[in-house]
Amino acid sequence: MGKRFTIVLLLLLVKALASAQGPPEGTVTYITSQHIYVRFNSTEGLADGDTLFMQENRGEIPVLVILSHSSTSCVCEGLGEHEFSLSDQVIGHPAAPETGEVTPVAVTSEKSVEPGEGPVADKVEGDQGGVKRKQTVNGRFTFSSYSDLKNKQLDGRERLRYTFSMAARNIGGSGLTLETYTTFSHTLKQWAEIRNNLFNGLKIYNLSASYAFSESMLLTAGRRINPKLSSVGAIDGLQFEKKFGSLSAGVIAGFRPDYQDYSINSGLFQYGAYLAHNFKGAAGRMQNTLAYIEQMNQGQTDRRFVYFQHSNTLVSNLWFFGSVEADLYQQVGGTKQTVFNLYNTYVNMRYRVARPVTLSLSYSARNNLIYYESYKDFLDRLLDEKTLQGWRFRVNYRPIPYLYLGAHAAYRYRKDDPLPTKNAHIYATYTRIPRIGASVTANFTWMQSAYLDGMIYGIGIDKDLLNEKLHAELKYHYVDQTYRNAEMAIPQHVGEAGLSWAFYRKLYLTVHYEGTFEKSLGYNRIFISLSQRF
Amino acid sequence: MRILPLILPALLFLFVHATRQTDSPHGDNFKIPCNKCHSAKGWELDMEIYSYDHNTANMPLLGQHAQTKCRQCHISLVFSEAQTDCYQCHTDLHEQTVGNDCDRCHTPYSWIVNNITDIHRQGRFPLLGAHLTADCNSCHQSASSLRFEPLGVDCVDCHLAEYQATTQPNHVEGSLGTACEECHSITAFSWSGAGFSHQFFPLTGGHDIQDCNRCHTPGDFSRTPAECYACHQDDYLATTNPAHQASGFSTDCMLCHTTQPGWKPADFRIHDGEFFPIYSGSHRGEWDSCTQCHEDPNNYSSFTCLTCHEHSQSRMDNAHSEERNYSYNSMACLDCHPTGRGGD
Repeated sequence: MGKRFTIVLLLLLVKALASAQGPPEGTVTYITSQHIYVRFNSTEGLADGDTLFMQENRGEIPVLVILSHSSTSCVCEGLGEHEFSLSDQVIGHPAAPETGEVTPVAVTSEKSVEPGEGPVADKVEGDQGGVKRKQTVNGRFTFSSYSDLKNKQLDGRERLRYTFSMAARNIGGSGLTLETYTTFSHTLKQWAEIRNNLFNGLKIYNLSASYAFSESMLLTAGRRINPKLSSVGAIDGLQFEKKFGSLSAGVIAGFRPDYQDYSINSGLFQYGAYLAHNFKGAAGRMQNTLAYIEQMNQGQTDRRFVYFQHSNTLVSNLWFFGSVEADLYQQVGGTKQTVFNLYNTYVNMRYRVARPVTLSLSYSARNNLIYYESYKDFLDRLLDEKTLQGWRFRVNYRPIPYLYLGAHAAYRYRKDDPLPTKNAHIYATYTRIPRIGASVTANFTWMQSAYLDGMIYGIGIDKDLLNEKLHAELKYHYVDQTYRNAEMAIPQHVGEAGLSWAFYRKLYLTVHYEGTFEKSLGYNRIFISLSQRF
Repeated sequence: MRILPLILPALLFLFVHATRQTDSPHGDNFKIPCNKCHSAKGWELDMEIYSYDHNTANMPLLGQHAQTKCRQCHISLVFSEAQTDCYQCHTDLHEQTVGNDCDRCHTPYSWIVNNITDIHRQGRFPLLGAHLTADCNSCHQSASSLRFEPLGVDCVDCHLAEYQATTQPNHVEGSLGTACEECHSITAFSWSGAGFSHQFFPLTGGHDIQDCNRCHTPGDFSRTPAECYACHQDDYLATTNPAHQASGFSTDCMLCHTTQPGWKPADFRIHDGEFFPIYSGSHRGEWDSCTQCHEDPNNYSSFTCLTCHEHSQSRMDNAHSEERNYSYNSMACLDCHPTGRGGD
C-alpha cells in the first residue's frame, strides 16, 4: 500500500517538475466575451503583446495576442475570426530566456475604473493588427411622473420626464463608442414655454462619439461631462485623453452649454487641460486630478479656475475624497484681476473603525458660480452672497447580524441666514423580522432651521416579495414642528407607500406615494417611474 | 511509510490549491466555490446553476442593480475590483454641487427622488404651504435643471421679482421692506386674501371686518394710512360726548381709545400727569363720566369740583381768608390743590 502511494507521489512530483520546464504549448482554459485564457506550464519567455499561434495544415497561424500574463497563464484577445473552444492548443514562441527569476504575476486586470465609462475591456488596444473588439449596446428608456394631487387650496400639478440613455461601445468591432443621456421634461401646463423654446424641456447631458485609437488614447466629440471634471459640467466640443502608464493627460476645447436653457451656445467658448494620476497600492488606490479651465463669453473671459480632486483608499479601512476649486479671475467694477479665491471645497471621508462600526464626516464650502460676463446684470448680488458651509457626521454600527444602528448630525450655515440649520437623526433597523422576513426601521429626527423647530418620529417597514422582484415599503412619520416666526405649531402626519417591481424582464416599475396631512389640509404626491433597459 | 497516507492528500491539496490560485481569473484570495457560477458545460457563467448570494458581498444587488449586466460593474474578472461608491460608476450630472453621498436622495430602486419633503426638512428650507407642492425648477433654476447652487432662505431670495412687480400696494415705492414674512405667511397659498397676514395692523376688535373697502380704496392698497384719524375723521367730528373737535381733543385717538368696538372703554390716562389725577389718588374710582366734572361738553377746559364737593362759599371764604389770590371757583381750587387733597 505504502509503495503504491510512493509511486503516485513520485509521479506527481515528476509531473510538477516536468511542468516547470515550460514547453511553449498552451491550452485554452477559459473563454469570455472579451478574453481568452490560456494556460501554459510556464510562460517564461512570453511577454505582453506577444502573438500565440495555432497549428493548422498550412502551418502556424496567428490567433491570439497576449494582454497580460502570469507565470503559467495568459489573458489574450483574439486575432481575426477564429472561433475558440476549450482545450484548444496554441503555441507560443518565447524570446530567449532571461537570466534571473521570473516573478509570478496574478492574472488580474490592471485597468482602472473610470466613472461613467463602460467596461475598459471593451476598449483595449486599437484595431490595428486586427484586434477584435466586441460591440456592446446598453441603454435605458425611462418615463417618470411627479404628481401633486389637487387639494382644497391648490390645483394639481404634474411633471412628466422622459429619459433616454444609451451607450453603444466598440461599434462594429471598432473603437467607436456612441453615448447619450437625454431627458425631456415638462409640466402639463408648460406647453407654451416648450413651443417657445424646445430647450425649456429638452436637456441633453450627453450626446457624444468617442474613438479609442488605442487603450491609451481616446478622442471624444460632442457633448459630454468628463468624469474627471464633473464640476465643469458638460463640454460641447472635443476632449482628448492620452495615458502614459499611471498618468493621464487630457485637453478639452469647445463650448459650455447655454446658461439659460442648456442648449448649444457658440459664444461660450471654453478650453482647458488636466492631468490625472492613478496609483494602485496594496490596500487600495489613489487618484489625483488637476485641471485648468478657461471659460469665455463672446471672447471675453467669463471664468478661469483650477480644479483639484483627490481620492484615496490606500490606508486600510479609510476612504477619502476631496475636491477644491479656485477662481483665478475676478472682474469687479470693470477691473480685471488675477486672483486665487477658493470657490468650492468638498471633503468626504469614511473610516471603518471595526468591522461593525463606520464613521464618516463630510465638509463643504460652496459659493454660487460667478460668470463675470454672463451674469454681469446681477453681479453685485452674486458677489454679495456668502459661502454656504456644511458639516455632516455619520456613524453606523451593526452590533449583531441584521441589526443596524446609526446616527447622523448636520450643520449648515450661510452668513445671511437668520439662523444656522442643525439637525440630528438616529435610527435602528432590523432586517430580518422573524416569520415575516421584513425589515423594520424606527427613527427620530431633531431639526432646527431658520424658520422651523421640530422633531420627527418615524417608523417604516419594507420587504422583498415575489422572489425579490417586488420591493414594498410603508412608512409613517409624525412631524411635531413650530413655525418660529409666528410661534405657530404645524403638526403633520406623513404616510408613504412604495413599490418597486421588476415585473417583466428588464422592465422596472416604481410607484411611490407620499401623503402629508395637516390639521385642515392634505397634500398628496405620487411618483411613478417606468424603466426599460436594453 | 505510514505517514504517506497523510502526506499525499496534503500535497494534493497544496497542488490543487496552488493550481487554482494561478488558474483563477478572479484574483487572489477568491473564495467563492467555482460551482456557484460554473458547471461542467464550460467556464461561461451558467445561470441555471448560479447560486452565489450577492447580498453577502460589499454591494448587495438592490433594486435596479439586480437587473444590471454584471460586466457594467465588474469591468475586470477580479470581482473585488468593482467599485461600490455610486459616483465611481455614475457620472455626476449635478456637477459636484451636492457632494457624492448619492443615497441622501436616490435609492437603488430608482433615480426618482421620492423623499423631497424629507430632504428639505433636513436642509435650510423645510417645505411648508405652497412650497410643498412647488415645482422643483421654480426654485432650483439652473440651466441643466440638475445643478443645485446654494440658495438663500429669505423669501426675497426667490420672490424678488414678485416684490418688484407688485403694485397693490407698490412695495418698492412704499419702501415696504423685504421681510416678506411680516405680511405673508410661509404656509399660505397666495400673496393676498387669506394668504395675507395683517399682523402689521392687527384686524382685531373693531377692525375685525371682512370688507377691505371700508379702509382701502377699492382695488388700491397702496395708499392706506395707518393713522386712526384718517379713517375715523367722521367719528371724531360727530362725537358730542364729549365733543372732540369743539374741545380741541387730539386726533391721536390711541391716547384714549383702543380698537375695541364702540370706542369704549375710552381711557385718558394722561389726565393724571397733564391735568389732574383722576386715575390715581383720592379721585380714583370716584367718577363715572367726564361730564361729572366737565359739565360743558363743548369745552373741556372748563370743569367744576363742586358737583361732588359741596362747599359753602362763606365757609370757604373764611377758611381761605389768609390766602392770597383766593377766589371761589374750581380753577382756583385746582391751582392750590393740584392733587385734589386739601393739605396740598
